[in-house]
Amino acid sequence: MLLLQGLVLGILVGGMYALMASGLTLIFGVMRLINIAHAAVIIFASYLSWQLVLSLGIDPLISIVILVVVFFIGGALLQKYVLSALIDKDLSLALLATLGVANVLEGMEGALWTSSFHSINTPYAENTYQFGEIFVPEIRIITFAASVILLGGLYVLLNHSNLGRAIRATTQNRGVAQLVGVNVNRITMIAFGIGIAVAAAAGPLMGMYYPFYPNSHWGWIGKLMAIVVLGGLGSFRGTLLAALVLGIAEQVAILYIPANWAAMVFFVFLFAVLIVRPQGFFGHVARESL
Amino acid sequence: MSSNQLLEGLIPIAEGASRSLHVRDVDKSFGGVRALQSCTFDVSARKITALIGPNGSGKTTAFNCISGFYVPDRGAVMLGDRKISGWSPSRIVHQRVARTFQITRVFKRMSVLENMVVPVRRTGLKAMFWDGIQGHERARAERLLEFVGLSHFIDSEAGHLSFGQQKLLELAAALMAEPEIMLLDEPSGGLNPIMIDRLAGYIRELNQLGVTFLIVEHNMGFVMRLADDVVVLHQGSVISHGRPAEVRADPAVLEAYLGN
Amino acid sequence: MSARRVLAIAWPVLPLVILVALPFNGLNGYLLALLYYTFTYAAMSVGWNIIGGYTGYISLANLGFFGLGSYVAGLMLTHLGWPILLTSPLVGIICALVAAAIGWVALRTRGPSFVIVTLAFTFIVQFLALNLKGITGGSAGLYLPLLTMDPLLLGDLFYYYMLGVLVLAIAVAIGIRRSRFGLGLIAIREDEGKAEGSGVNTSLFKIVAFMISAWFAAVAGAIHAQYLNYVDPDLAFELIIMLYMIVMTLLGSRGTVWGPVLGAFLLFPLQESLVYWVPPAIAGEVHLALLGVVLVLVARFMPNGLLVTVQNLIGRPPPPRWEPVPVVAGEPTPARAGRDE
Repeated sequence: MLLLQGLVLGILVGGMYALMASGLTLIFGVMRLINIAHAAVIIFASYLSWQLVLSLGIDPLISIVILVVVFFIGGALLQKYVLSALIDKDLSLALLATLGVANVLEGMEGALWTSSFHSINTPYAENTYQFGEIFVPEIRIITFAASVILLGGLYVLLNHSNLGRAIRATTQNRGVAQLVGVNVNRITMIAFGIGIAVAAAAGPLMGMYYPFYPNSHWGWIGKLMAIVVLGGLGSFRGTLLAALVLGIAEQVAILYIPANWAAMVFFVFLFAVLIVRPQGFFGHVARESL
Repeated sequence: MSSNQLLEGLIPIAEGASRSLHVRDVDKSFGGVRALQSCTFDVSARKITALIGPNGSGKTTAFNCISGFYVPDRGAVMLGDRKISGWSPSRIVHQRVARTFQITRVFKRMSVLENMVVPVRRTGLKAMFWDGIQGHERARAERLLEFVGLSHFIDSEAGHLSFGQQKLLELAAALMAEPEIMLLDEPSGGLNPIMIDRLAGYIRELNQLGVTFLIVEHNMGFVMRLADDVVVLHQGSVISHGRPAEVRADPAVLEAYLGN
Repeated sequence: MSARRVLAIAWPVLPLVILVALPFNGLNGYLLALLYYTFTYAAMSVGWNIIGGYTGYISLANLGFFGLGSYVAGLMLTHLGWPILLTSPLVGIICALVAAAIGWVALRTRGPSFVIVTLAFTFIVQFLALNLKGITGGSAGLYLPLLTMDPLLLGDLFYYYMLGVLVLAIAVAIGIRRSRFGLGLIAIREDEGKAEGSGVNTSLFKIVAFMISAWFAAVAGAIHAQYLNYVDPDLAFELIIMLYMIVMTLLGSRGTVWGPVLGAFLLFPLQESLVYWVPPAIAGEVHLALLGVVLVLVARFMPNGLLVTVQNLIGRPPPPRWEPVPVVAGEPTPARAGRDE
């Protein structure tokens, strides 16, 4: 049944969407910052993974390990030397800085790899499995599985480790966290690094899934923002749920309308949420910062 | 020149035209925390009403519900016979209800004069764009600054003022909106006794002109000297109200404060 | 009036006179075009500054309005025959109304929803331009009829038109800055809650500021469509336009009248001259990356912008804005205290 196909594919892609968006929500949580460069980081990681496949024959799934480490360091450095000074002064400046970073990445990609479409092709993921009447491409299962593993790791980190506890405390109430001894500046730096690392992890997966080119991050950042707003800015659970909902909505829509129009589903939800319930699924209605 | 002469004409409040504030059965919760429960009290026109209660009793929440910063979950806030709960704060200010904040808020990077001129009395197109900041706005600001003794600082950056001076600036700026009702959130907080007396004097003078006051306070001496009526909040509800002497003797009030 | 005050008011007149006179001295086509682009960017930056600089709300929608303005103007021309040079103000108004709708969704609250919505808006408009092929011609674009006019004078025409738009933008910015509306916008940036509690209708003010900025972006887009005689989804929504607007404003000094103008006149010719040093194949990408780097550096190390930083360095106090204006005879005045402090 067609609808069931949409549902299954929706869940599979939703898992990857959740991975892509989880870093964004984490960063918002600790810094109250919308990281406009988030999708650009994902795409950049896709390009690097593509290059690693080409030059060193490294499997994209394996490259995730390398990229996570590299991007964690890069992210933490960016936060420490650029963003942290801006967050205190004026959040809009930090936002503009991320806009700048997004364009730097896009420019670099275009210069290094031209503006043509790229995609990461893996010889082992060419099959399509059939379950009853539902066709599931192998690649989607693999990316889903990888996403779930990474998200699981992130979940464990956030909820069952000291670091995670410190991050959650900083997210909920920075001032109080500081009072109880959390080094909020260091935690923020680490959390941002993690957010960027998670984005980088999603890069190779996304690259195996969809073709990409330097400008494509603009389409993606819009979708990711729709996901985190729907889920509730700063809520990890919310992001997971919203990613699944939107993934399903998109895949079901694809059954009836052309694929590129199906992406508009994200924005329909975005505007609907902002009008009807701005805090999304699990966002808290902040006691208005008066 | 006496302060009363200074204030003459600044805050036109005709006899008998004042409205009272009525808080009716207001509930307000945040997540699981019930800040206000069936909170009901009146702020009589032309009187000074004090809102007191132990920490966490919901005083500032009530304040925010009245001034439009929170919307009550249930119940209503009435100004005269109009329901104002649910209105935006700026709309309530246009009804001539002005407020100050618990933690003194001035526009630190603007000059004192600019701080004075921000408050808006009406939003017609002409007032917004054409009039600009005309002579009588500045003259009005100057008189109010003189009333609170800040004339000397008129072009200073507001952030450079001392804490007490910023509090007075906040008060003077609130007066620019020609308020009929003033909501003061812990006005004496952090002030030395001399300043507190000065502040009490200003409040009394304004009250004599007809301005209604609702004052949230912790400083009992300040409250008891100044207030005509006292409302006591405890855990989000009113547990006592009346003249200061009555409330002070009310055993329920003592228990609320000591029992915590 | 003191000589200093006269100078303070009149100083822009000289550069304006020079700019008006330049084409008469046989300015070559390249410089005419360069200045046309600079005027366009300056006008858009001044417009962006009204929402992004004065209120502090970062709009990523102005690119969307630029493109939307291009398309609306182009379609009016091809379907109704209305000349763009005449319809551009109307196109601006149409886009301003769209801005009002967006503002109603995103500006009634505080928080990051505005950035998100404006980004989504720009993406959506570009998407529609690309995919509503029946109306917009899709990726093939719209070809616009050429202006019936001596081709030699075309460069002059667009030069003066955009110079006029720039002058208008600056006049509007000055008017806003001196008005209670402008003071309210700045109050919103400084402390929105306090502004709201002072009676400033923050939602309305933000929406109006957004509408004004949209008007200028749309007019620029409309004129540019006629300039190129062509509208297409890639050119009309080229990201670098958005980046230029923001960097010019920030570099010049956001929240000031002349900052964005300064930023535009500095940055655009500079970036254009880079073309000589960069292999053409990647010129566009290098531009983008470089602008991005400039944005990060300016945000991090000179967030006040050039104008304000220089003014602080030379110790020049900001000009007095609230001069007592002589009251018109017959208007009632409250009695003055007349006492020295």
